[in-house]
Amino acid sequence: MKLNTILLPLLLVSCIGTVQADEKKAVEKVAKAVEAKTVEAKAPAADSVSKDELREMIRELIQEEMANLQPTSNTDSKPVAPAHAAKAGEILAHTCAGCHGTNGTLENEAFMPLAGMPEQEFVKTMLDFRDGARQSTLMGTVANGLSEQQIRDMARYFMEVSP
Amino acid sequence: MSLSRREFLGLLGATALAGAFPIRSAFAGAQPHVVIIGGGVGGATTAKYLRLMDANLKVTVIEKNPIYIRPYGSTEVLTGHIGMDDLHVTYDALKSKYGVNVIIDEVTGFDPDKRNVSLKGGRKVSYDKLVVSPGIELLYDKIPGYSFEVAESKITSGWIPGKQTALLGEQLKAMPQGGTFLMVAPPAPYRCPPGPYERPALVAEWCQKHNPTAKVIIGDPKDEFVTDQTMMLGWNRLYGFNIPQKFRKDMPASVEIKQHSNPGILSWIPKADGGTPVSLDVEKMTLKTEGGDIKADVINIVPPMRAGKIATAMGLTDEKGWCPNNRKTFESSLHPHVHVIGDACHADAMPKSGFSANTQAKSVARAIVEALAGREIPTPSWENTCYALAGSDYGLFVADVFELAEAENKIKRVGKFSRYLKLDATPAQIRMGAVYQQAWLKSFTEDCFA
Ligand SMILES: Cc1cc2nc3c(=O)[nH]c(=O)nc-3n(C[C@H](O)[C@H](O)[C@H](O)COP(=O)(O)OP(=O)(O)OC[C@H]3O[C@@H](n4cnc5c(N)ncnc54)[C@H](O)[C@@H]3O)c2cc1C
Repeated sequence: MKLNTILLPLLLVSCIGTVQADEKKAVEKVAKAVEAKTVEAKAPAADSVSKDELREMIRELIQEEMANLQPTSNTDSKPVAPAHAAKAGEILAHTCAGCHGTNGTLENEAFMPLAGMPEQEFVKTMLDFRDGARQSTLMGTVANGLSEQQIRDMARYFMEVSP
Repeated sequence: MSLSRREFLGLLGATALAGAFPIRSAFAGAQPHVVIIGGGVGGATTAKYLRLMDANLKVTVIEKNPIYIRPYGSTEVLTGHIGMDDLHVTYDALKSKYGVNVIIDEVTGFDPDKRNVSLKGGRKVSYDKLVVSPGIELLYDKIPGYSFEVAESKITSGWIPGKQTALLGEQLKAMPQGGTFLMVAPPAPYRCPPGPYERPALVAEWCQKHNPTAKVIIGDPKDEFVTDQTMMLGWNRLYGFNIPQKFRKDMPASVEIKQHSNPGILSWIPKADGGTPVSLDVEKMTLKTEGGDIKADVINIVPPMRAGKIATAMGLTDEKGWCPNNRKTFESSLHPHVHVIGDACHADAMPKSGFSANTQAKSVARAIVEALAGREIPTPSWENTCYALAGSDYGLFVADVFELAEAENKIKRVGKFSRYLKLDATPAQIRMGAVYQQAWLKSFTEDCFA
């Protein structure tokens, strides 16, 4: 079938010689597996592309992967946690970071670091800014755009960040 | 074909199987790939936050310049407060700390069906999601007589900083005693609303010291601008500017306003007084305005602008020249899987500022992570704070929190509080504004790039 005749030689030709020796085996394994899989599954999308398109697609993917091998440091072998959904307060908290630092961690004397701030302190400070009980240049304006619930959510988020 | 390469090959089982091996082979692509065009404020922030939110994502920034020259704060180069080098920002932290791939090359086009972008260097890069944050294109030719070539050699803009910024600084220093500096403000919408008014203020301050008989004139095609009242108060106190009645009439009596019997160093010609530029005579160093000719020794022009060139080339812009989008996700209304942020996009009440681009980037990063995880996209929230200087110790700002009005696909301001520095702000608050402005330049750059 046409997939085997196009995909496999391409895969092997393109990869062998560019990947390190200990990776070759793995690439061959992938190729075999692809062969087995495509023979058995007859992937429906396969018929909708021409040989040339498929060849181009594979070439591009390989190019891209090879290019990325060079500059990246995305090779940490540490297992990574799957992406979690946004925590309450996180989206709002990120809007503070332009001044107060990413996640409120900041070594800049002019702005208050927010990471690890006790929840009650954050809430009281923001409500005081909002109600004008505490003078400010700009924070009154910002606090005025937030509801009390939003302020509480942000407080909880920042409290849990280690400073 | 609307499948990306990765999805297509995934159907054949290639990507999934490859992902099972601990190698980076040609098909180690079970990781979704987010490609970002432009490593400025919007692009860099998106890259960093994508990797913070989901370390499984592969993130690639494609940027044409190896070093980013930040536009925000670039006016300080003119007055010698900082040097050009101080504007330079590297991509080192994005690469080493956050594992972002950075390709230095220029994007020349894309194939929305095959989902890949083409680079000048000849390479193609495929994506699952594309983020476009290319900034602005300056339309020099909209002012007859003006052009990019003129801007590079004689009458600068510098609204995209670089060579022109340095040249303008040299021109200011070489200006004859008693000479005239003309600043031409742009029509709305434009990058950095207070910027064309902060610049002449800082030039006026510099002239007070080094060229006290000089004149600074602002020609404007508008009758008002963001931060106008608070900026004019600064001009009034520092540069002998008399505030027009229109802007004084609703200022409370407690606000200290000076009345100057002699015109000061700085003047502003709004549209109503003929400030709109008509054409430029480069040889004669003369700007023709609706109100007459203005001859100057140094001219700085912020021309009309639209979304960065590549956005137009990709068919992402509308007849106004900016990119229409779904305001919740900033996904283009014209091409799926492409998100446009920053100066280039339509964002209603949000100004074209670095701060806006930064908070848009984070909401888009979250929208992409959730979309790829097949989860619902949470309600976004944005903010903007533009600090501006009327003098090096005189700070002011415009600040806003924004929310989504989803049914109307609009971004709106929240809160009824003043968006500006209070008109009766104390001298201490004004000074603190300037301290915060300087501190912001640093913390903001860190949040975007480091
Ligand atoms: C004088 C001045 C003062 C300012 N002060 C402030 C301020 O105080 N506060 C504030 O919030 N904002 C300020 N700004 C505005 C702020 O700098 C911009 O709003 C912000 O940079 C916009 O971010 P962006 O990502 O949209 O564009 P940019 O930051 O301009 O980034 C766009 C990037 O895309 C790259 N690019 C474009 N096309 C391609 C392509 N085809 N291929 C590859 N790369 C490409 C460019 O090289 C550039 O690096 C100021 C601007 C100026 C000019």
